[in-house]
Formats: sequence, C-alpha cells, structure tokens
Amino acid sequence: MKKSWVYAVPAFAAILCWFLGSGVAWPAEKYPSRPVSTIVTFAPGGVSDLTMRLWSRYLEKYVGGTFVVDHKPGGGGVIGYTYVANARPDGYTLGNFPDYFTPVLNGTATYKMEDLRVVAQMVINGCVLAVSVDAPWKTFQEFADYARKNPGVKWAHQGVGTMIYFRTENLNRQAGLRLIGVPLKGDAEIIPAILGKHVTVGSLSAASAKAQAEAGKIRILFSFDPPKGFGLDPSIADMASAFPKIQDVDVPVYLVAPGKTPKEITDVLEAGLEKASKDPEFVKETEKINQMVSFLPGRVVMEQKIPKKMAIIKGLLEETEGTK
Amino acid sequence: MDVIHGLIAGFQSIFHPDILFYCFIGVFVGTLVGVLPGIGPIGAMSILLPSTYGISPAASIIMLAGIYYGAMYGGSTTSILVNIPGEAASVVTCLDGYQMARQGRAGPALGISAMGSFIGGTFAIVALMFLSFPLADAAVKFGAPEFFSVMVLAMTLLTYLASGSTFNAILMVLVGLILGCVGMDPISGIPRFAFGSTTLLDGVGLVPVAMGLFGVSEVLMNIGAPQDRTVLNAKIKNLLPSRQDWKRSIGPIWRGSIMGFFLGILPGGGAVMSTFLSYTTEKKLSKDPEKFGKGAIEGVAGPETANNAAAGGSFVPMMALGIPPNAIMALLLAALIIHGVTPGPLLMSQHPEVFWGVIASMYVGNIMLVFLNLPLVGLWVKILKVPYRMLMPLILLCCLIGAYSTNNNAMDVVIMIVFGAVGYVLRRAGYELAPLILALILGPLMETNFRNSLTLSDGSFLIFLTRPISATLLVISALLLVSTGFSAYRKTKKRIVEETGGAGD
Repeated sequence: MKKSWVYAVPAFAAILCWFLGSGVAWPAEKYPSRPVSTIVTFAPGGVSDLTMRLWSRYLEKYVGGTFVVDHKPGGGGVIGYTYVANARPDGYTLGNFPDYFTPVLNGTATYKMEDLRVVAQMVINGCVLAVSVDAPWKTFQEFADYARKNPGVKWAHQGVGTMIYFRTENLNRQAGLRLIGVPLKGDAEIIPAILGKHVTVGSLSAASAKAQAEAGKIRILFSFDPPKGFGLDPSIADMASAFPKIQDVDVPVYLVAPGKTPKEITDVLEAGLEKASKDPEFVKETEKINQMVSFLPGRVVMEQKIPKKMAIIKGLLEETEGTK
Repeated sequence: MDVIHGLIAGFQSIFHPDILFYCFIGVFVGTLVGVLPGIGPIGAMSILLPSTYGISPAASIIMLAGIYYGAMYGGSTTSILVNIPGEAASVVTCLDGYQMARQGRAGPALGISAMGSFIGGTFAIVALMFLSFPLADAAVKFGAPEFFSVMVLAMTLLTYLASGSTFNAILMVLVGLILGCVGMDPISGIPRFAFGSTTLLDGVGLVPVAMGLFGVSEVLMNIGAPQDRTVLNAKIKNLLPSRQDWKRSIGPIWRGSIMGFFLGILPGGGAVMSTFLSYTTEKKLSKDPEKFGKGAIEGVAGPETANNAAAGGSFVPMMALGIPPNAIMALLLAALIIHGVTPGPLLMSQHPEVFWGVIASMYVGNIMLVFLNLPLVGLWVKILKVPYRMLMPLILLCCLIGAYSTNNNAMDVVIMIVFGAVGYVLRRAGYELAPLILALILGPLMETNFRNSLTLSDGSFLIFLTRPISATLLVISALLLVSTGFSAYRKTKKRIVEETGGAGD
C-alpha cells in the first residue's frame, strides 16, 4: 500500500501541472506557441473569409506560429463578437471584425465595448453607388440633382445596420437626396436589382461593382473613398471632392482581441501587422480582393476613431428611429 | 463565342490525369457528404477550400463544383433507405422513396434516382452551355414582385404535398410560416421571437429543423415501435428499375429537369424548392394521385432529377454574371477570387479555360457519378439489413455533427433536438412534416419580397399586376386554386351522390 501511495503523489502532481500549464502561455514562452484561432463572423466563402486567410499567411510570416480561421456566423456578427469577448484573454483567440459597436448602440449586443480591444486596423472596404449602364445620368451631380427634384428614388442596400447602409444613409440625409432604401441580402441581390432596374441606384462594395462596370453592365457614379485606391476610374466623384463637409464613416476591417489580452501580446501582433501592411506582396494581394490597405495602430482606433464613429452612428440611429 | 469550339477546348484542357483526379475527388467527397445526413456540401467545400491554393483555378473549381452536384446524387440514398434526408433537397424523396424501400423496392428507387440525377444534371449542362447568357439576362428581370409571385405559385401547390388530410397540411403550413417569422425583421432588423437569444436572431435555421423533424424524429419513432423488417429481409430482387418503372418515370424526369434548371437560376429558389414543385406537379398530373406517398416512383424520379438540374442551373448566374444565387455558389466565387479570377460577365472571354473547363468537367463528373452510384445500389441496399440498434445511433451522430458544423454553433444542435421531439409528436399525431418545411423556406422569402415590392411601388398593390411576369404567375396561381377548388367540389358532389344512391341532390 505504501508503495502505490508514494507513486500517486508525483502522478497527481504531474497531472495537475499538465492541467495548469495547458491553457496558460507562460511569459517565458514565445508567443504564439500554439495555433491561434481567428474568428470570422460570416459564413465561409465571404469577403471576411478571404481577408482573414490572407492576413493569416502574413501573420505567420511576421509573427510566427500558426493562425487558423474559424467561422462563427450569425446574429449580424454578434455571435462571433460575443465569442471573442468571452474568450480567454491569452492571445490565442482573435477576431477579424468590421465595426462591432453597432449592436452595442442598438441594444442587441451580448458583450460590452470594454470586452473587446482592437489590435490594429488593416484594410478598408470600398463602397460605391452605381446605376444601370443605360441610366440617363453620367455623373453623380446629374443624379443628385435628379434625386433632389424627384424625392423617393429607390436605392438598394445590404440591410439596416450594416456600415454601408449607414454610410449611404448619412450621405442621403446630409446631401438632401431624399432616397428611399430597399434592403436586400448582399451584393449578390443588389447587382441583379440594378441590372434589372428594379431599383434606380445601389450601394455596394467596390469589389463587386468593379467587375460589373468593366463588363459594361453598370456605371459607378460615386465612390465614398478615393477611387484610385480601389482601381476605379479617377474621374468618379468621391466624398472628399463632392461633399468635403460631410462627416463620413468608412468600412474598415480590424484584428480584434479580448479586452484583457496582455499588452505584450497585442504589441507583437500589431507590430507584425504593421510590417505586413508595408509588404508589397500583401498590398498586391489585398488589391486582388479589392480592398485597400490602411493601417492604423490599435490605440488610435480605440481612443479616437471608434468613439467618433459611435457618435455619428448613434446620431443616425436616433434620426432613423422615426422612419421605422 | 463558338460553343462547339469552346467545348472541345474545354475537354482538351481537362483530359489530364491530375484534373480528372481532382474531379473524381470532388464528386466522391460530394456523394459521401450527400449520403451522410446533416453534413452538407458547404461544410465539405469550405474545408477543402484551402487545399485548392496550390492548384490551378480551373482544377479547384472543378473539384468544388463536383462536391456540389455529387451531394445532389448522394442525398437520396438515406432518404430512400431510412427515411432520413441527406440534406434539405432530399426531403421530398423521403415521402415516396422510403415507402418503396419498405415494399422491397429500394433498388429501383435508388436506381431511378441515380439515372434521373444523371439526366437532370446533363440537361442542365447542355442548357448551361447554350443558354447561360440569354438566361442570365432574363433572370435579372426577376425583381421582388416576380419572386413573390413565384412563391405564391409554390404556395398554391403546397397542399398537394400532403397525402393525408388537407386540413392537417394547411395547419402544418401555418406552423411553418410562424416558425419562419422567428428572427430579425428583414426590413427593420427588429428581433422577432428571438427571446434574447443571438442564435435565434437569424431564425431557426433550415438545416437543424429539417434534420430534427425528419432525422431525429425518425430515430425516435424507431425506438418507440420496433420496425417490421420481414419485408426488407426477404430477398431483394430487381436491383434496377423495371421497364414499367422507366415508362412511368420518363415524364417526371423531363419535367423535373426543366423545372429544376429554371428554378436553380433564380436566387434563393434553388434545389429545395424545385424538388417540392416537381413532386406536387407530378402528383397533380398523375392519373392516380392517391399512389403518391405510398411508393409512387414518379415521386422519386421527378424530385431527384430536379435537384440535380437545379444544381446545374445555379451555375448560370455565376458563370454569366458573376452573381452567386446561393451560399454554395458564393463559396465557388470566393475560390475563384482567391485564384485571381474575377468572376463577372467577362469570365467567359477573359478566362475561357475556367468557363469551358468547368462545363466539360461537369459532363465527366456526371458520368463518374453514375458509375459511382449505380453499382453501389446493391451495397446501399445491404445497409437495410444492418440492425436498427446499430444504424440509428450512427445516423443520430451524423445529424448531430451536421447540425453543429453548419455554423459551429451549439445552439443549432439544441434546436435540432427540440425539433426532433416536435417532429416525433407531430408524426404520432398523424401530421405531415413536408408542408411545414416548405412553408418555413417560403414564408420569409415571401414576406421580404412582398414588403420590398411595396416599397418599390410606394405602397401600391398594383405592382404585382402591372409587371407582366408577375401578373402571369399570379394568374396561373389563381387558375390552379380555382381548378383545385372545382375538382374538390366535383369530388365531394360525386361522393354525396354515391353515398345517397342518387336520391339526394
């Protein structure tokens, strides 16, 4: 009996150590020593999926280790945001998120803003306004004049609550275009709606619009971001040139970590991302999926950008309350 | 673009051992994934997507496309053998396919299903080759009012799904419509019936509900009542469909091909709706509709052909316009983008090797699938001999994995189990579940399209009648309703006359 008891103690101690050690990243260990799981909040095959797969390759190059893409779609992104917000803050669960504060503003969030922290902003998605190629307006100015004189022109968007919707609705209200929105499910429904002239104008991603414009099926009238950044015709009107006074919101993609993740870990990630953003191969591949590299350090995003955007969106939400 | 030259070039480009190998992997994985209940083609495609990085764009699309239409072949196997659909597009095959299996005719059912799938798939490829551009242009004319009218047409045929009481079918339709309301309001985003759950914000989910209502409930039913297996244990002769079977199936197969292909082009419609429509159409056109639900081979031939034709049809908007009509095509789109091929109207001219390579590969893939599926019929039929106490837990496991793997969400598994219990109760009470599933799909689509139509028309209901396509569809629906009502009236009148011996009236 005594013998077996003697063996039990070190066995127990070993098992205990294994349990304790399995989840913790010891400070002396180099991060990342295990595969890092990055959560994408949309179904596989979407733009977020492609984006994160691209970033994973470069993170592996500049930070080391393995980065794995995992999908948690649903609830307008809330499921994925909540998952990362509640994950262990050890740097092994990250998220590839767009602006995640909208659910917090409209009350459907199951997490708080302080549960998440942006590591860095990497890219922005381009948004454009486009009409069918045989529409009578060749420039945005012509269209805007028409819209102001004929209130109730229909525009298609990806759904109330998406950043593209807010961006366009912001322009709609501030420029007095008096457009009426028709919610559809993504670019795949917006493009046929424009082509078939079921709506007059559509607000969609630069990526989808570019392919159609090159084939001569639609005409891009307006680009929210500078058109050159997305390979569009530089003569297309953009926010800066046409409406310099309107406060625009852009459509960025961030790498996000749980709020309490140690700063050492997020600094390593941020440094890696910054190096990636300057890598010409990365820039080329980002352009291939029709996004624009736009690096911002996490601190800048959290302290300046997000609070400013939240104020704008909050104002928009309050204004649109009445039209529901 | 010279179609024949393009096709020849396509065939030349794919007859390399490595491309054919990828094609085979695709269709093989697809069949496997289709057979296993719960796990659908999207899961397999997204898992295999990273492995396509190193190979050419044409080869990766060929493989992924193979998974898609391969799954449409395999989905009917478990539907016929154990009354559990391999995926949502095979739900309708359960209705008559399983009854055929219970009558010892599993072989012919599987055989006609494989052949129908081949014919439907090939028809779709031929149509895709010649008609993709004009069809895509026509499909673009379908706006919200037209979609709404298509759904109305589908709804009028809903009650034909039921072989039992029409009243019960209507009740199930209403339940399905209510279930379809769960989730975010499509226009304003306000949560409905979500009870604070983030999972329910997207609705109850078609895959968990279908797997639960049909799969889990079937397992539960078999626990409750031991199956009478004497029929199945008898020697199963005639593994292939008889001549009689062929004669009865030819019509449904042709109609299913056409219906499936055109419905597959429309976004959102796709494979599932085409199977329901094919079934109800065959039942309406049949000389003895009472046989449906009791093992009519038309109820297997039509839907199985339709879902393969729909899979082919869904390539039309993708190839011609670069617009994916469903989630699976969206994945293919992503795969193309990863390989630097921007899908769009210029795909055929800028990357003819992708366009024609995929089309040529679909011919080859379909032939591979026929050779995979037909000889295996004998093997599948042997599954029926596996004791249920071993088979059912395996099926349950597959359903559980499938429900989780759709969204990596444990709540989906809970939903599936809950609906398993619900399905069990409903079946014991004598209700039929197929109308419920169809209403669950149609309801939200109808609502969104109806409300969007009214937004487009600034509130005027006339939009449904002033647009020609929409008006035509609504008129057909109205005529169908009237003819149903009329024939029901005539049948009841006849019954009254018979029962009262002609003395009444």
